[in-house]
Amino acid sequence: MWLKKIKSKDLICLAILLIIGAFIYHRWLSFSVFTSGDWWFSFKENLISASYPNAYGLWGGALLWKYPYFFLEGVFGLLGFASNVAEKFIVFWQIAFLTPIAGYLFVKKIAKSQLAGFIGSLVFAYNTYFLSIDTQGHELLTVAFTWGTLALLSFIYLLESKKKFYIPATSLLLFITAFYDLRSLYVVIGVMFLYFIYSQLILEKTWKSNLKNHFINYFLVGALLFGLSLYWLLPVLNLHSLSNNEFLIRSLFGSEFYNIQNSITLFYPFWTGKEPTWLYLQKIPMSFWLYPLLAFSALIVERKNKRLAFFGLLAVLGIFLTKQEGAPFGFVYKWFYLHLPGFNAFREASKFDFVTLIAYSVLIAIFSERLVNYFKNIKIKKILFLALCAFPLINAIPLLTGDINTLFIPKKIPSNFENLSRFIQKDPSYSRVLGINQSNSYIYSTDNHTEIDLSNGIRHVWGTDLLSFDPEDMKRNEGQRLTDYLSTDEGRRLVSQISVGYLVLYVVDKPTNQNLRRDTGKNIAYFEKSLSGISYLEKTNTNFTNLVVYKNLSFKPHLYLTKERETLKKDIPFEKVYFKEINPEQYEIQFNNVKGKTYLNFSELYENGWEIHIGKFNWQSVFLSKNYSLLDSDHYQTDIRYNGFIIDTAEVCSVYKCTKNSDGSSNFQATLYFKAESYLYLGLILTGITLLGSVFSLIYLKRKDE
Amino acid sequence: MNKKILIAVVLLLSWLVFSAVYFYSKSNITVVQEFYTDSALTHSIYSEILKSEKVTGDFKASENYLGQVLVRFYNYDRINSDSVIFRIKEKNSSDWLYQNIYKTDQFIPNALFTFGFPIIPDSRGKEYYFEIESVAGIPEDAITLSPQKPTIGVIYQFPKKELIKNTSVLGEFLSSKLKYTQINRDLLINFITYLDFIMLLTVIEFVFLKELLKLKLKHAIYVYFLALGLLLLISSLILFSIKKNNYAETLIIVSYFLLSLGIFTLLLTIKNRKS
Repeated sequence: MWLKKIKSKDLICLAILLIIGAFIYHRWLSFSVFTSGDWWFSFKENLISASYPNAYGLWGGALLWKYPYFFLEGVFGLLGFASNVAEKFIVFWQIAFLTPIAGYLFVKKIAKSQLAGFIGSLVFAYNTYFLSIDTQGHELLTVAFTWGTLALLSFIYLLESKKKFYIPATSLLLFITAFYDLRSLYVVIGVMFLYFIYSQLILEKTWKSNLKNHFINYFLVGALLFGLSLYWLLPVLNLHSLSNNEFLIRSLFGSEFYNIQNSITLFYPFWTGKEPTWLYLQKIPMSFWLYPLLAFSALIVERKNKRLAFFGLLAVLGIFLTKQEGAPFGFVYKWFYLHLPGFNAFREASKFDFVTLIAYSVLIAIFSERLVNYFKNIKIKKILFLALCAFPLINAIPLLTGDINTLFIPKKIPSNFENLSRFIQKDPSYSRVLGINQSNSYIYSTDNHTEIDLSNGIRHVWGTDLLSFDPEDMKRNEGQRLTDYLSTDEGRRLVSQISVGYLVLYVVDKPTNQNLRRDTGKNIAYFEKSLSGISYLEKTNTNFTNLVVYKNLSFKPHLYLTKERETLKKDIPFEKVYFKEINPEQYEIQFNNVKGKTYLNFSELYENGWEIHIGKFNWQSVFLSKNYSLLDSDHYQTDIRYNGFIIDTAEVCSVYKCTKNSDGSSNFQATLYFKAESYLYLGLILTGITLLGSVFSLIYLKRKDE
Repeated sequence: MNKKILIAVVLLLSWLVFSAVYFYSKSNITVVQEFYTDSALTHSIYSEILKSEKVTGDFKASENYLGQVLVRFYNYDRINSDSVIFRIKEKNSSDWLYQNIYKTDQFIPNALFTFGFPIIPDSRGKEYYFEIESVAGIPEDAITLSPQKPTIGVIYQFPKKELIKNTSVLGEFLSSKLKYTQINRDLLINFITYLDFIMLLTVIEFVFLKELLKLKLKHAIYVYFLALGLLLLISSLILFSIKKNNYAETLIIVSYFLLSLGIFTLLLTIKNRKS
């Protein structure tokens, strides 16, 4: 039905854009493996385990907004596919095909011309910002801005047509934008708000015309989006990490790379025309000065299109923001960063390139159309049109030739990683895998076998500054420090207390020649020699070609009991406790034959939200019952920032039901749970209801309109 | 003057200026680059270059005014703390013509690094030997030669004064420039980019000039702000290209303000038109 409404000229334009996309991104059309920078390969087990909703952990807390993305990946995992398949559907092919389509639809809507839509789409899809960040594995930003553009388009339709159908449509598109990258949502909503104001002040007859109607529509879009965001808002509010998390307390970065020249020419500072050179500022090629020239010329020649001034305004705003602390008025960005709510998520200004980009796409497209139509000679028109198309397409040449390398060149999964993944997954009990020198391009982590990096853990997770790293001399001696530390008693205790079952040492990069080893400043022979002398490590007979796996003989389980507080300073004997992991946020524990004070140790990073309930457990009661858990004062942080609980049997049994044994000891059942998970479940239910409501209302309103 | 002739003259001048600036901005226009095959490397290292290890090479200079040796390195995508010593001398001579120490943290992965030295005016036909020695390279903190080709090259820097004064030097320069320009994919892409740029620029200028000469100057004020802003933007482009960065930056800021002013006055015009 809707297809019939699209004009044949539109279909031709879209088909050509898709062909161009397929041509440029031809390497992404297979299910090959691509890894580079922050883009990693995950085995299906990892995708499945990451798709479980976790309020705790790496993707919990402040990054919980990303959950629907992991859920989508998990669906592919459940179907038996690894990330090389999932990423194509939910990321790569969207960049190749949806980005130009979104650009086309948006620009065409504003310019009301297929020719303008086509050129605008090329400007939008093949800019140096998207292309550069895509080499570094920041594809989700590109996809988020693509969906954000469609949301913006839907919003413009809403203001213009006042059709209710566009309310759920806009909210759903914003919801998708948000789960690909929340920062993009911030930028898109900002643009939307400005358009709303502009539309009211400039496009409407008077500023009051339709104000109430528009305001209600705007409010409804916001309300639906709020409902769709509850899955992360509720737990994050419970964790108090909305405004106070590690991503929002970082200082400004890279001000020396951003300036008005780069902003106005829409030239990403590290773009070389081949592989970007990160943190090495590049000279702006002369041809990029055509961007502002073409864009701002549109404002001179086009006088009928009232919306155009908005995009001019957006362009100067985008330029102002993306220059970060560069002149003029460089202090403004810092002021925004420190005082404007949410702005501290933008520690470098490049995300605002989208604002300039969307504005330039429209302006350049409109001027290009005027330019082509200025001439009457068909041949000149054709040549000019091709020249205007070639202008943004030149940026995509390195993708076509492969000179851009990075994420555009297929890789092969080193066989040893597959073998390692199989070997580790064979072990049914919980244990961590400690990487000593491995780079993180290939993820085999699951809930049962979490992968951690020794050096990163020591510096950022366990927080004990165990190796006393000297930042000046860190790299050179890191390998030596790590192995020296592992050979100490304290090192052994640390490895045990973090429930490490296996240690992995990466030996050589061959045969794939990828950068799989992390630089530690020491060669492999040194590592092998040092580790072979450590008594609690046993080299396994895995015979993997490129890596060596050691088994930790002093392993301590995920949950265990001690008679005194666990410490790194001395060996504390431990007892096993029977427990069952219901999910990573809920553990049923059976305490048998306990008396007096007992210490329950849980090898997960300390968070206030970890609580213990004695007796039968259900998530609803976490909200509804007061004093559902043991006292907070009985929950403490161990030497390595993990969780410890004091279980005073007499106190517990005076309040809760216990079974007394003949020797005076007691048995009782408890549940260890992460409180924010209950808010996550509630949020997911509410988001699910809103999602269903939005989809049904979308279908209903569409049919009603027709 | 006939309007058509005037437009043609302006466009021709503009084409000449922008083409000159374009090529000048691409590389120093008075230099000639010559690349060698890897056989010029008498000792090459494609693994980490460790302390005291040397990459050595020799070559015969084809032109006068030898001024730089280019070597393509790879830094393993990490910042290395090592330094290298570059030395150059005439082959079979015992005295080094030049030597200097370079920090490897400035080496861009797979890019040619330029070792500059005082220009040798009479280099043609002479054989030179150079070496690059690691000062403190250790495993996983060292650079290597890049596998990308070409690995080795030299630059002849013809002095501008000589080119202007001496026609034989100019002839020599032009013929060597032509001789050493490699016809490859990069050159083709650069040429297409140039053609596209110069063509679009010329067309834009043509359209604006034609409209301007119609002498219908009853435009709204925002048009003047925008036009002036664009004019300054173009001027700043020229200044950037001839490396007058401070002036260019000032000009671009003024241009930004004029463009912003133009947009605000355009908004006012639309608002007034509406009321």
